[in-house]
Amino acid sequence: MQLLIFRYLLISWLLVSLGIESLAQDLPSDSTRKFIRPTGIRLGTDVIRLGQTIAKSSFSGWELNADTDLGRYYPTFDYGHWKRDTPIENGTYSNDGRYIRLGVDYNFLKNDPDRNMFFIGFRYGRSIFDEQVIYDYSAIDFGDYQKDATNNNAKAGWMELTTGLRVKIWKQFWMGYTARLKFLPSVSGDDGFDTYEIPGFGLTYKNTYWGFNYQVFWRFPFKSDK
Amino acid sequence: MPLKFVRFISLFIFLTGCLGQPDCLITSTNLVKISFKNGNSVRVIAFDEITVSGLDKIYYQDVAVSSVQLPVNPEASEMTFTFKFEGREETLTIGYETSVQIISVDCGAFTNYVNLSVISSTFVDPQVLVNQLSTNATVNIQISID
Repeated sequence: MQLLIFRYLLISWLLVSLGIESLAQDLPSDSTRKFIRPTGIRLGTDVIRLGQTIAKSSFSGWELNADTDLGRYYPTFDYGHWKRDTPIENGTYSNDGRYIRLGVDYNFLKNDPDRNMFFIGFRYGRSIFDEQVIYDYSAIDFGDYQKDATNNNAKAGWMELTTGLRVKIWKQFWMGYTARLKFLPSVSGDDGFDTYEIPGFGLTYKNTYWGFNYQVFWRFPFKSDK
Repeated sequence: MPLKFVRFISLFIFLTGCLGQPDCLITSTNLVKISFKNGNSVRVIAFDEITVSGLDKIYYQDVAVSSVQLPVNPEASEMTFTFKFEGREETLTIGYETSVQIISVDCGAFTNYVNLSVISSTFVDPQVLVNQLSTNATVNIQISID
């Protein structure tokens, strides 16, 4: 099933890329194509993640986002921390980890003097984390037990397709959102522990997973903007 | 032109986002299923008793069956079963590992018994057919007896 989804995504992405290329050929007067060096860097954070940290006692996390412009391509880098303590039916589950995402966005808005963005992109995510579950269970004829299982230094990777907006609000202040389709999670860790949740990705039983960030940015131009 | 691709991607993301809802189907068990055969035929055995290491309980006392289900200890990695039948006493020692699986918040966490193997036996060549204990498994170990 994962392989089928991956093939479908790959074909979809190739189609999008071909479409982008054909668009580029149709637009000889695209002024933004002149940029081959980055003009600045945007640093931001996800306010939803911060809101969850304040509102939910079971979750804490934060995320830093950075991107820079290379014409209509925007290389991006994200770094985040994720910690969850959640009750389950017969015990408690917790995890604590860090994650990064690397990728590129493609800006569909042409000739915008403010470099506002409507983009589609992709990411590769990596996470390193610890997880623990304490739970009660019964074994036939052997009675009731409580088990404390840990999975430390587990590592995971996944892919994402992204889309979203970046809008210049005031001077160097930007706001925007990023919607993510996360897929192809893979985990390496303790064989005796099936990872339940990957920090930065989400629940592993969902082979495809939604994510949404509402972000604020401050842009640091390399030269002062005209 | 870009709008077509945006629509395509949006539809794709919407459809794939619906995949992968968890089922609360709990198949975890600590019972190993052992069947007995004679050639290609089912072998019904009138057991005097079966005992399990670490337990005082006697299983299948004075019962004639062609398969048995016996418990394994979740805090051990091997178990020995002793079968008394037809004036014989045979033993089977199996090994296994446990793994933790959290199905969902509502279902909770469970212990799975995996990598089942035969460590030693006085039976002739017992075969592991399914190496994970499961309520769905028909037979985990098959033993041929003349």
